[in-house]
Formats: sequence, C-alpha cells, structure tokens
Amino acid sequence: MTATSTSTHVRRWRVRPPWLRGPALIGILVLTLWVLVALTLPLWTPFDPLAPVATRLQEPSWSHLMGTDALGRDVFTRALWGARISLPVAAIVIISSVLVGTIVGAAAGFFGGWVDAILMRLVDITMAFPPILLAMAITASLGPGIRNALIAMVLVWWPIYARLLRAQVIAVRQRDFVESAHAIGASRWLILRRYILPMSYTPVLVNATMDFGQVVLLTASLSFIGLGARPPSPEWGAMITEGATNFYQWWIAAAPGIAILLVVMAFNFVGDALRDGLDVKEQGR
Amino acid sequence: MTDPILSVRDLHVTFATPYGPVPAVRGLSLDVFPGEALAIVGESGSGKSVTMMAMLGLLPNAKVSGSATFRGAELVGMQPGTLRRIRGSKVSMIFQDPMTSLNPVLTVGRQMSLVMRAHQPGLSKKAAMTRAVALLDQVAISQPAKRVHAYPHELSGGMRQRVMIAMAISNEPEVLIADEPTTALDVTVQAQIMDLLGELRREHHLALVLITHDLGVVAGDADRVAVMYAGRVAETGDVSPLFADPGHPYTRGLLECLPRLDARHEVQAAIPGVPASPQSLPPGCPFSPRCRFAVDSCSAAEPVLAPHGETMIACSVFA
Repeated sequence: MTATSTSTHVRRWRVRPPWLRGPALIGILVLTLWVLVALTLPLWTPFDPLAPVATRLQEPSWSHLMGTDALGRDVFTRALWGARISLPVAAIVIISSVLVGTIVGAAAGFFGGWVDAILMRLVDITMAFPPILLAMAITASLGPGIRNALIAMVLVWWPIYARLLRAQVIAVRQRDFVESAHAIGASRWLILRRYILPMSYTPVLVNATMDFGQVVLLTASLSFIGLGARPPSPEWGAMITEGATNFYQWWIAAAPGIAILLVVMAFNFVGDALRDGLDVKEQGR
Repeated sequence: MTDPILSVRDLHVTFATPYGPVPAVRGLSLDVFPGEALAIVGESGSGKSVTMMAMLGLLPNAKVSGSATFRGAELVGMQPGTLRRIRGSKVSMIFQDPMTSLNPVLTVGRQMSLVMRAHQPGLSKKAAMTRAVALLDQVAISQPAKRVHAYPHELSGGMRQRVMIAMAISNEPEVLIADEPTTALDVTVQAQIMDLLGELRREHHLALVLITHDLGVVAGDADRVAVMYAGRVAETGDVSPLFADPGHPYTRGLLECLPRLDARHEVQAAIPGVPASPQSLPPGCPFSPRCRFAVDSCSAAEPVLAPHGETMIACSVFA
C-alpha cells in the first residue's frame, strides 16, 4: 500500500525533447522515410525509371500509382528516384556552402580591417542578385547540367553563411573568455578554433537545415527551366517541365510536386525546431 | 636591491576615437621586483588595467609608446608571436569576472591542457591532464580529479576564479597580474582568493601585480602601492608609510573615504567632483579641480614624482 503510493509520487516526470514533438517529429519521420526509400529504391518499385514500361499517359491506377508519362514511364517510380538526385545535390550544396562560408566569415570576423572589408563587399555583391537569377546566369555560362547547377548554387549560397558567421564571430570575439585566452598566451588559431567557432556555429547550423529545403527547391527550379538536370533524368524539376507540356495529365507534374512539397516542408519543420532548441543565448551565466 | 623583473618607463597609451585621441596612460613609470606584491590602485578609468594590457600587447587598437621591459626584453613593439609566448608562460594575467572568463564549451581540464600545450608543445595530453589535476589541487579545489571534467557552468564563482588562477600559473610564470580578481566575488570568497594568491606568491616566488580599487585589499596583501590618477602615478611607496602618512591629496582623500569601525560618520566621506576624463584633462595637475589644497600654480604645470617622507608623490604643494 505504502509502496504503491510512494511509487506513484516519485514517478518520473518525463518531457520529450522539443525535437521529438509536433511538427519536428513529423519532419524527422518524413525525412527519414525519404532517405530510407532513396537508399532502398528497388524494394519499393519494380519499374525502371528511365525505360517505358506501359502505355503512354495512363491515369493513376493500382499498377501505376501515379500513372505514366508521355513516354510510358512510371511516374511514381520516377518521383521516388528523384530523391536520389535532389537529396545528395542539396547536401553537397549545403555542406560546401557552409565550408566556404565558414572560412570566409571566420576570417572576416576574426581579422577585421581590410580582410573584412574586402570579403564582405564580395558577399554584398553576391547577395545583391536574386539567388535564382545569379544561379541561372552562372549555370548558363558554365553550360546546363546538374554538376554545373550544383557549382552555381554553391557560388550563390555561401555568402549567407559567411555573413551569419562573421556577425557571430565578432560578437564572441569580444567576450571575456576570449580576452583571457589571449592574456594567457593562446595562439590566434587556437582561439579561433576552440574558443570562438564552437560558440558561433548555432545560427549557421539552424540556417543550413532550413536552407536544405530551399536548395531542393532551387535545384528543381533550375532543372525546370532546363538549366539543371536534363531529360531523361528523373529530377523533380525536370519532371514538372514534362508535366507542363502534358497539362491535362495532371499526375505527371503532381507526383514530383508532392515530393518537393514533402521534403521542403519536412526540412522547414526540423529547422524551426532546431532553432527553438538551440536558442540558448548564454550558458553558465 | 635586486633588478626589477618588470620595468615600465614613460609608458603612453592612446586610443583613437571618433572624438579624437584619448590618452589613457600618460607617461607612467613603475617597477615590479621578483616575488613582491605591488598594488596598483585607482578609480575606474585611471588607466590601471590599460597599462598592464598594453604592456602585454592585448590592446591591438591602442597606440603604445615608451618602454616596458620584462627581464630586460623590450615588450613595446615586440613581435606579436614572441609576445604571445611570454604571455601566460612568463607573465600571466587574470581578470575581474570569473563567471565569463572561462570557455563555456570546454571542460576545465581541456582548457587548462590547451593553455599548457600552447606553451609546451612537447607536453602530452595525458601529462597535461595529470598536471591540471595537480594544479586544481594546489588552488584548493576539492575533488580535483572529478572537477577537472566539469564544465565552467557547473562551478561556483569562487571555484571558477580558482580555476583561472590555476590556469594562469600552469606554465609557471614569474609575474602574475590580477586585474581586480575579487571584485565579482562574495566577501568571504574574496578573502579566500586573496589568501590563495598570497600563498602561491610565497611558494612560487611569484611577483604579484594587484590591480584594485579596494584599499582594504592593498593594506592586507601588498608590499608596495602605486596610486594612479588620470593615467599617471599620483603616489607610490611601501604600504605602511603610504597608509600612515599619505602625501598626495588624492591618496588622503581615498583613505578618508574608507569606512571605519572606530569612528561615527554621519555621511560617508567622498572626494568631491568626478574623476578627470582622459578626453578633457584640466591644465596642470589633473587632480587640481577636485583638490582642497590646490593653489594657482597647480594648474600651471603638471607635477612630476618627487619624494615626500618615505613615498614619492606627484604634487607641487606637498612635495
């Protein structure tokens, strides 16, 4: 009797961490699913994404969940295969942009003076163009193709992180513990690496997660206007282009559209939760 | 008398601001001898911290001229890399606020080890950790083997200041500059930290430079005092004569402001006026506008240090 009442009193009061609640949980589930599906594609669909497998322009049915396109390829299969292009491309673009942005932003913020002035003017110039326009111009000049689109997107995207990190580095650089590290003879490289960067990274991390979705969109946009992945590649943007020429066969464009929607939404949910979860301004104060 | 370990001669530190140059330190000279405790006393803005930081090259935006030598090596204008190797290994400095002076993302042991290895590249990580535990023990932190793995936010203010001190002495410096080391701490903890600094000074034959505005600390823990006003030394000498027979009107004022247990004060004494601003110094003696002994000649020329009893004062009336 006593034991029971005690155990109810001391029952652990558990709170799920913020990233396992609400939209964030949905986002993580959706993304995990996409990644799993992309890794194990042949398990999910019997068809070849590039070969005609049935009558052209079939409506959705149980044998072809999202119908077939103008060449008789299975649209559902192609929409799934699109993840194998969009997700790695977005990952490479984000990681490269974060790397470049980190180096530039850290250098500008840490050294200040003319280094800062030159690097930040470069950032200003890049950011003065609408991203899609600049990416278009760069891809067009390099020649269309997914590899060049990727290079173009990195060139467009890094300034965001450079500027974010620079602002953080400047703020952290003036904190007491950095000054006392100087006073005790730590080298500038050590201070930048172990004292300033770990304290500056949070906003970059959050933004990178949120931007993932944006890069998926940008990849699709570039492909849509014919500058990214070329047909017959099952890239989502390129598939929508094909759907646009067969306007009354709505499923051809809808399938990749839904795929983009799910991925972008999931990344936004996760990014939001990350921002809330990591937004600890001062630790140990 | 032995040679001074740290010697400052006619040091000038000027900050360029949008409102014109601000001279924070104007021709300061002082010596620190091995193993002694020198207190530098002064109000906020009198240039006491700036002097020490400029000497160690910690003020990259300030214009520093004059001379400051460590064991004969000129620090002013020294290569930044060479100066960095002196900081922490020969001359260490700790700051006022231990709550914000430690890296919040590294454990105590990790950051101590980083600092040690920055000066002793041959030291292994393991050896550095062992030494960190020994140092924490030396600064009287209980359970050092456990605390070495603690993050700064898990420690109290007093413990963090002990960690700062442990870190500052980890490379066996000959001079430790403590910039108001107890200002941010509770009174009981203040006494413990001062005791600790005194102990370390005796054990390691460390010269201690105490930057403070607390005359109580000065009386208890320092051998010599330099009183600073408006970027210059107003009075300097051994502690007991300076307290017994202060020469400079500013020192007298400071001592009169000390709350006493044996006298009744209706109102706490204070020096009238506000500290001289380095941006707009009065002509002549910078203290003259607040000085009750001031005569006309005080605003004619700035006095230089001259003997008064057993101390040196920069005052044309009493010297």
